[in-house]
Amino acid sequence: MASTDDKVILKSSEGECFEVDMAVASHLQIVKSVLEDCEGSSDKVVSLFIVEAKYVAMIIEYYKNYVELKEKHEEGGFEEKLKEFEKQFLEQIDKKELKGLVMAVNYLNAPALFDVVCTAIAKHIENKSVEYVREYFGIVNDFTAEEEAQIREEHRWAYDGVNDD
Amino acid sequence: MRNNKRRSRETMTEGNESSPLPLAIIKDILSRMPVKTVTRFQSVSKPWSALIKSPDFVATHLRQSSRDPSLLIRRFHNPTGSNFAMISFNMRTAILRDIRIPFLNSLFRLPKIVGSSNGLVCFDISHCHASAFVLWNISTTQFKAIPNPQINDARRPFWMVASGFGYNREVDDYKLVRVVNFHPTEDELPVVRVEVYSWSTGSWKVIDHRSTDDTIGSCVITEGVQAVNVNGCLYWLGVVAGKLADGKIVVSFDMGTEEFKLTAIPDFVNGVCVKILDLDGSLALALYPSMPVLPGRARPVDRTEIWVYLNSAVENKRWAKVTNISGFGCPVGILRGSELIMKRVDTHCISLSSLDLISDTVKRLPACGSEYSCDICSYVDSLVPVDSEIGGPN
Repeated sequence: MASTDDKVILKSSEGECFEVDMAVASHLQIVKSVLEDCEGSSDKVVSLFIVEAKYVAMIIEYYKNYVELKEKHEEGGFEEKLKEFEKQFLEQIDKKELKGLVMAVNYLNAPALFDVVCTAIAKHIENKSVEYVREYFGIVNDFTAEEEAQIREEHRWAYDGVNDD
Repeated sequence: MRNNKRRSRETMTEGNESSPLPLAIIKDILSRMPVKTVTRFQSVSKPWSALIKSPDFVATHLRQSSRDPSLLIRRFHNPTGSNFAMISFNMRTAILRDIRIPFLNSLFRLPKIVGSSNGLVCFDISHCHASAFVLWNISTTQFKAIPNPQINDARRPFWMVASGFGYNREVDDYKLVRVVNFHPTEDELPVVRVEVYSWSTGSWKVIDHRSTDDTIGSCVITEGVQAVNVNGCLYWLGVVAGKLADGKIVVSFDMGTEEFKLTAIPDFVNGVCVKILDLDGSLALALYPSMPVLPGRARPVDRTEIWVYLNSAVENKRWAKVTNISGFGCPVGILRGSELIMKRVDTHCISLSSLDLISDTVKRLPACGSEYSCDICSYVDSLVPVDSEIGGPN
């Protein structure tokens, strides 16, 4: 068992605390650099200010499995096992939550999970219409009707095979 | 120490489901999508449109899509090649797709693939002697006719004209090279002239013959042989002409320095075919037995040797044998660094397989559905424009 020295407490924006193994938390670059800054201090609480508890929980779940799988499959096969877990991990996340998660992961600077979430969002919107994408990302259309019609006309081939469910 | 991060708290607490993501993250997400999708999303908003059109995005998108290349297959159903089609096959998704050729009706004859690099495919659409070319981005459907080459046969007849197309990172340019051999007159070596079309300047330039006389003045590249692009250089299999006769040699053209070089190839027995390959950024060769021309004749041993050129140590440039392959037919090319594509011709069917030279795994690819022949090259989905000017932010 790891001693308490190997633990760190991550505090969400609501003030909820999560006790995490250092091996897991060190995948979050921001946590790593904060801890390096205050090396020697007994206080091992890192506030993640802007990150909501539900995202902290997701990120911890991802890296906990990442670390475990890496240890278990040292000899090989780690990548396939990780892919399997990632698929199952993404299934439990609501499509709208992916955006909040990518913001949190970007803030915490966790490259592996950032890659996974960006790919998941890309897959989700790949066959979607322009209208769906505006709504999904909360983007205001700043084209005039004429401008938009012209852009669409230029690339008509890019607009077939779109589905919006 | 931790409090100094608090100032960002107010602006970022709303980083939840309803607020827009920063453009830097949007860029990362969009760069993972097919060209068709990002082209459609240009109409989402002005910032999205500007982002997608920027050369920086085009480059980021290309880096992502290069990890996932497709096979581009040109197949024909009769010996003259007139009934032909282009299909693409994605190795990861296993999706087979027919490709519409937007300039097909304006063709005199059927295009040959000169080269495919970063999503740009260069076609030779001339009757003969590689004298008319089209540059085509299949994904964006954009194409353009390349201006007419400058070297012509008004004064002396052509003997053989070879061409090659590729990309060089150092000069960040795509180049089309045309190597013209004029008919040799008695007891004279063939005379070679070379011209280069640059994507960034949009024009041809004839290379000073004094530099080409010294390097490739005594060799000839067979017309129709596809050049292979390895690390910014084009490679062809050439033959040293003149008294020595029949010596096969590798001819290379550095698209950065625009210089030619000759490299001898390993010794091999007569009757062996040589195919140049790009093995993970290194020049490599496949040596394999030629197929009998007459049907019914015994087939030679189906064995392909792969050799790689080691040139890291200046004093010790040499060819080294990497592996032997048996039973998959003849080599066509390499995809994704180490996947060797093999083509096997049986009585009325051509079968393709991919053989990973590192992991030793074999995959069957869909038959190219051709009774006669098929040409294959690698293709990536990309936004690279056929004209460099269009690459700028309008």
